[in-house]
Order: sequence, then C-alpha cells, then structure tokens
Amino acid sequence: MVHEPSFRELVSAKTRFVVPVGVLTLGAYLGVTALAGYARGFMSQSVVGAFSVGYLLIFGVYVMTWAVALVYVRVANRRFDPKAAEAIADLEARR
Amino acid sequence: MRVLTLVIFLAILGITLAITTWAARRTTTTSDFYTAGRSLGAPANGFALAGDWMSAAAFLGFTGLAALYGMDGSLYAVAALVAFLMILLVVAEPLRNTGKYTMADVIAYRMQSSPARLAAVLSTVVVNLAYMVPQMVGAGALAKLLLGIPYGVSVIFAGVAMVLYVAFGGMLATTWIQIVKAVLLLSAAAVVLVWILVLFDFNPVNLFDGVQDKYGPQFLAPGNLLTHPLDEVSLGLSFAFGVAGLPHVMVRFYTVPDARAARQSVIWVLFLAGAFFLVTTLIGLAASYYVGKDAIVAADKGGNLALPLLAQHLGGGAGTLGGQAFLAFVAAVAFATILAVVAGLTLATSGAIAHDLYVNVIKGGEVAEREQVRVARMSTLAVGALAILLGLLAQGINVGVLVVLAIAVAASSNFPIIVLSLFWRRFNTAGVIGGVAAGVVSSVALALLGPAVLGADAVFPLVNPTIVSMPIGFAGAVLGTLLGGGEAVAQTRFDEVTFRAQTGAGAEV
Repeated sequence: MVHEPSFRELVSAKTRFVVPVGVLTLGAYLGVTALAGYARGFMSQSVVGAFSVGYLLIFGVYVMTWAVALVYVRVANRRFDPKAAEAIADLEARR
Repeated sequence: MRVLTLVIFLAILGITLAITTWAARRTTTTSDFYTAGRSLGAPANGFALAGDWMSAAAFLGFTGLAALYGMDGSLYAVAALVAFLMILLVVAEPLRNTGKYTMADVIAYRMQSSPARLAAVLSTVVVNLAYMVPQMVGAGALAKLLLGIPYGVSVIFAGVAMVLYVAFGGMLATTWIQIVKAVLLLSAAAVVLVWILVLFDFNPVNLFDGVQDKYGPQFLAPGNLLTHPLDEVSLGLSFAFGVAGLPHVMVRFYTVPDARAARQSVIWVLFLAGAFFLVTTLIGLAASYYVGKDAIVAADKGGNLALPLLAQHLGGGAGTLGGQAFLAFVAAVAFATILAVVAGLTLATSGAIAHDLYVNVIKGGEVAEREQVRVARMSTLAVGALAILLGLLAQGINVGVLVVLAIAVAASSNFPIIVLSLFWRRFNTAGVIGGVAAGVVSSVALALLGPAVLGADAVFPLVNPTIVSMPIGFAGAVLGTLLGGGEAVAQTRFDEVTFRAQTGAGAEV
C-alpha cells in the first residue's frame, strides 16, 4: 500500500513542505533563545525607549508561529487532504 | 474578601458539578469515557486544549516570572506557544489517525507487544504525576494564602472534586470544565490587559519605560533567571518537544472526528493561548511596576501571586471593595484552573492504568465493554487518592523542579518513542524500552543534580536538562533498536502505520 504512486505523492508533498518549514521556524526560534543566552547586550539594545531588541524578537516569534500555522492549515486543507483521499481510493480500488 | 472569594468559587464549583451531571448521562461506552465519543468540534477541542495548556503554571507562573525576572519570563511564555507549532506540524494528525484512547496505543499499534506498551505506560505515569503534584501543591498553597483554609483540606478537596468530574463525567465533563475555565481565565486576563492599557495610554512602550525607570535596564535584559547561557536554549528545546510528549495533551486529539479537526483545533489553541501568553509579559511588568518586586516576593517566593496582587491593586488596593472583588475573582479563577488541569491529568493517567495496564497487558484485551468503563472509573479513584497523598507529602518542597522534570521527561522519553514509532521503519520493542529507560533516567537524574534542587552546589549546571537528556533518550532508542535486532511484526506494521498515520484510513471513529 505504501508503494501506491498516489501515496508516495502525498508523502513527498508533505515532506517537501513540513521539513523545510519546521526546520526554519524551529531554527529561528532557537536562534532567539541562543541570542538571549549568548548576546545579552544585543538583546538589551533599545528599539523604542525601554522596549528592546529582545522583546521585539520574542514578539516576532509569536507572529511567525501564527503565520506558519495558518499557512500550514491552508496547504493541508487544500493540497494534502485531497491527495490523502486519492490514496485511500486507489488502495480500495486495488483490493 | 474571603467570603467573596468563597462565593465566586462555589458558583464555579456549582457550574462544574452541573456539567459533570449532564456529561455523566452521556458517558456509557469506553469511547465516551476516554474520548467523549470522538464527537467534539475543532473549536470545542481548541478551547479545551487551551484550557489544558493555560494551567496555573501559566496563569500564575509566567506572570510571576515576567514580574520578577523580566525577559526570561517572556521567553518561558513564548516557548509554550512554539510548542504547539511543533505539535501541529509533526504529531497532531498522525496521533489522531493511529491512536485509540492513550499515548501507549500509538506505540502498541505499531509494535503489537506488551513490553513496548508497558514502557509507554511507565513514561506516561512518571510525566503525569510529576505534572500533577505541583498543581495539587499550588491548590493547597493558594487556598491557604487567600482563604485561610488549611493546606491539607484544600488538597483533599481538589482531589475529591477532580475524581467526581472524571469518574462520572469522563472526557466530556473534563472537556467542558476546561472550556468554562478557559473562558473565565481569558476574560480575567482581558480585563486586566485593558485596564493596564488605559493606565499607560494604550502604549505598551510606556509600561516598559516605567519599569526600566524603576528597576534599571538590567531588569529587562535576558539572563536574570536562567543565568547559564545554554539554559535559554535548553528551555526552548524542552518546550518545543516536551509538550508534544505530554500524554494529557496528546489524548485531546482523540476527541475530534478526524485529522482535519485535529489540525483546526491546534489553530484555536495557538490563537487563544498564544494571545494569553503574549499578555503575561505585560501583566507581569505591570505587577512589578505597581505592586513592586519586593511585595510580590514577600507574598510568595516564586512570584506566583503577582497577578492576584496586581488585580487587587487595580481594583483599588487592599481593603477597598473593588480591590477585594477583583482579587477574589482572579483567585477563584486560579483555583478553577487547577481543578480543570488536574482533571485532565487524572483522565490521561487512569487511561494508562485501566486501558493499557489492566485491559491490554494483564487481560490481553479480553475485557467486556461494561467492565472496561467500570475499571476506568475505579482507576480514576486510585489515581485521585495517589494525587492527594503525593500533594500532602509535597507540602513545602520546591515544586518548580517537578514542572521542569515533567516536561523534560516528556521531551526525552515520550517524544522520541512516538516520533520513531511513526517515522522509523527499523524501530522495535527493544528500541521503545531503550528510549524510555535512557530518557527517564537521564532527565530525572540531571534534574535532581541541577540548580533547581541543589542550588549553588549543583553538579549539573542547567535548570532544564533537555538539551542533554533528549539526545540521550534518542540514543537509547536507537541503541535498543540495533541491539534488539530485526523484529518482523514491527517492520511489517510500519507500512500500515505510515499509511494510516498519513491518510487516516482505518482510523478509530
């Protein structure tokens, strides 16, 4: 069943999206934590008044998380779900 | 004040018991008990997940950390949000597609062996108890401080309430109690937020400026709590992978009809809980500005009363009617939060004991439907009794380490075995056992040797052991797999697991 072309297509489409997006967002987030650990001076620099680079980056992580999640759900609903339905139909047709 | 808190709290208790009565009439089958019949919509499950995740550790803890330690508190809060992105991308949908009632089901579905299920049960119980005890201690400490009720009495009270909710109302009651609590908590936070914004002319920068004028620029810099630089990264790893391994969060994905609804419910959590986590920074800073760090520490060493004290201040201060009313409301919400989260933990733990241990391992799956529900209710009672006992024993000890531990064990033991079961063809029973053994032992040992327990004499320098213990957990799983040799069943099942995890074909309905 896993050698069904429609299933291979589903898995590779998911992998092509989830792996780079996951690695990039996790990398960006862990990058912010690394800056908080190793670049404390940089994180304390002012952006507006006492609102510093660190707080801005943390806020950026919120925005990034929300944006990536919305994009993922859109892609999953539109591209992955139909492909999954196709893979199930192909499997049933073969049986 | 005490009377007012009590009245509000009794009103919340009345609502939760009414929900339980309603849910009990709808809970007859095993699937009803563990998963609310897989009938919840994405918004309901999303609110309930947000309720699970906005525990007392978030409501009282994150605000307190931001009030006492500045940016490190905000890093804790954002870590809790990023966690759900990893859940969305990696585990939510495969879990919904392959699981039945518990976390161990996912492992056992692939391995078809009792030892693998037992290892997953062990890991589930360690994580859940480590997570439950701080909640019980929090309930006791909060009621003692705000209501003058003795510690033991409120721990027993919390234990009895959660057993009632879960034993009678199962997952349906637990879910709706979480939803009610999430709405209350978000309303409380929204009121506080608007109040703060009014006071600072709708410009949060004014709040940052005010705090900096009062405590100096060092207060807003990172590193006030997590002094070791690597600890900031380890904290991030803990949350990013640990939450995906928390059994009481995982079982929530079984309550929706399909993977699409599981996916949508994560969006609800990300926006509901995320908005709340974002606001904890402002609430914490406002608390340190108005109430003052010294007064916060004087009320509770860990800073856990920053939000209640801020509410009292905003309402008009101690002794005024407004101050008392607002404090009473926030305190009652905090207590309700603890009850709801403990109920979720109790349900997930009794699933591991009744469904995994008794029904599948001891009885080999041959147990009548009616009997399964009865056993689930009995094990709820046992878990409740154990939670009360541990809560009483834990009075006065530093519970912060237990939260760190729960999430580190989840990241180092549960997460590796779940991910490898879903995505690695060669993974086998010996790998599950190796992963659990290495992950549990390394995270528990490193947490006990770290600064959270030993303070300045710490042998291991980091509060969050995950950056070391998670690789050890994965290494144990890989080593176990290689030593265990080829396991025919585990390999042939992999194709089926992969197909089902990715498409939802044959998933439990």
